[in-house]
Amino acid sequence: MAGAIVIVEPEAPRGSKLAHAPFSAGFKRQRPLASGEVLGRSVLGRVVENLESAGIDPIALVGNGSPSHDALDRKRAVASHALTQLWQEATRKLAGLREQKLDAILILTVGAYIEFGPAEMLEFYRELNGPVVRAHDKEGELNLWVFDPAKIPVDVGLMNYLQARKPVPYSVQSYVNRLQSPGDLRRLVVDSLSCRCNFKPSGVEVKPGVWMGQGSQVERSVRLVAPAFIGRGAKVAGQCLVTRASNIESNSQVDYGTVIEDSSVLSNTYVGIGLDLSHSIADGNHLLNLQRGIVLEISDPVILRRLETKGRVETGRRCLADVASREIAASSAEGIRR
Amino acid sequence: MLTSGPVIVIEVPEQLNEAEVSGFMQELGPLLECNRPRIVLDCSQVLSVDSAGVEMLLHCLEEALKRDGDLKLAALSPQADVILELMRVARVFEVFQTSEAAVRSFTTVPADALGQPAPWYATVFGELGALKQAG
Repeated sequence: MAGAIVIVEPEAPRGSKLAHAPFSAGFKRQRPLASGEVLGRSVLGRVVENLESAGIDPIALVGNGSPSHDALDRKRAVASHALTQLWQEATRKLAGLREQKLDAILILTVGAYIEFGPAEMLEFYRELNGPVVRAHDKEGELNLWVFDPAKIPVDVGLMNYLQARKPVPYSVQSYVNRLQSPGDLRRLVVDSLSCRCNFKPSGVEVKPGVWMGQGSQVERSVRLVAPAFIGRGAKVAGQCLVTRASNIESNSQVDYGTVIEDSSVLSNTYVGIGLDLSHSIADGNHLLNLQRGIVLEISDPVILRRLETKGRVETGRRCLADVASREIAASSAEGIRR
Repeated sequence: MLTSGPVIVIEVPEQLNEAEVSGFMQELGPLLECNRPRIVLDCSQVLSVDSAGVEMLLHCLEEALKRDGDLKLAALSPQADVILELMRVARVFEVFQTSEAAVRSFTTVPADALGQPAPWYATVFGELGALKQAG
């Protein structure tokens, strides 16, 4: 029997590309990349689904959603501390899982999107009979381990234990996206829409390469050039053009005559009339231009703004709430699809 | 006889938004009213532009063109560049890397205007003339 602990990284680890990217400060912390919606579902939701489909139970989630992200902006030192706190929380979760007599626990941090077979990794671990196993890909180590909970002394923190051991490498051959920068987020969308990975858009494929979510409204005069994705409840007004693997996430609106090219419009975002959105990610009133690597905060609501829907909860938080509800062992599959 | 004044370079404020537009127009407006206004807007300090700012830029361009002048943009900051592209107005203006280049563009004659090739019909008429002479 195996369980899992999933840690949702509050931000990129120190020293990562994102930590140094000029646009990170204004953009990423608005919404953690792993818990925001991408092609209709969060990375976190997909990871949990993957674990569940492999029969991993229970799955404990560590992350807070996170109301402290603004504070992270103000004090950089607080940020690394936040990750440490999450590991402490993971250690506490481990104490709860010990009682369930599990022979193995998978622990992963959802900063990256890793396509792996949990069952295969567990089989690899069981054949070795005991040592800590850590996943690697061709670029290096991944934050994905398997270990025996019975071997961890009660008074040792999980992070310390994993760092102290020399793990046996488990090679991940399939798709990995480290999601270290918003550019990686775009790459994930493009790879997914181009069928280069198993990250499938959540919706109906209305014509080859064009997916639409439930309740999305696209006017007749709109040109959707495949591949493209329109999320649930999104609206695209007349004479718009959506092209080059662009995605318009849930409950967003693109107004009349606008061109969305090689861009992502994240959830609950309004994009104004007659604009050219190219090589960009729009999130509320923030616009990240990937070609120039700059983030703009657009104060003019006619151009770009966050749509406040009734009873709206920030996507990241909603996602965490969904997953947390699954943590209760007998949770149904319905919850996460909501 | 039409004459034109010197090329005027004006620095655009950091925030070209609704609040700043009226103040900026007070400065720019009189310059647009002269004959053949030649204006360069230095956008190197611009951090944000909203729809009112873009509207103002287009209005100024229109006024300048009406009086047989021109308004050119120079040294666009990345922010201004992104916004103007987003709002599809970047292609409406002539944009230069530096203010000096923009000023020079007013005073130099385009190279292609100097050595214009003969119109295609000249040879035709030439041939016709030769035919007439022969006839």
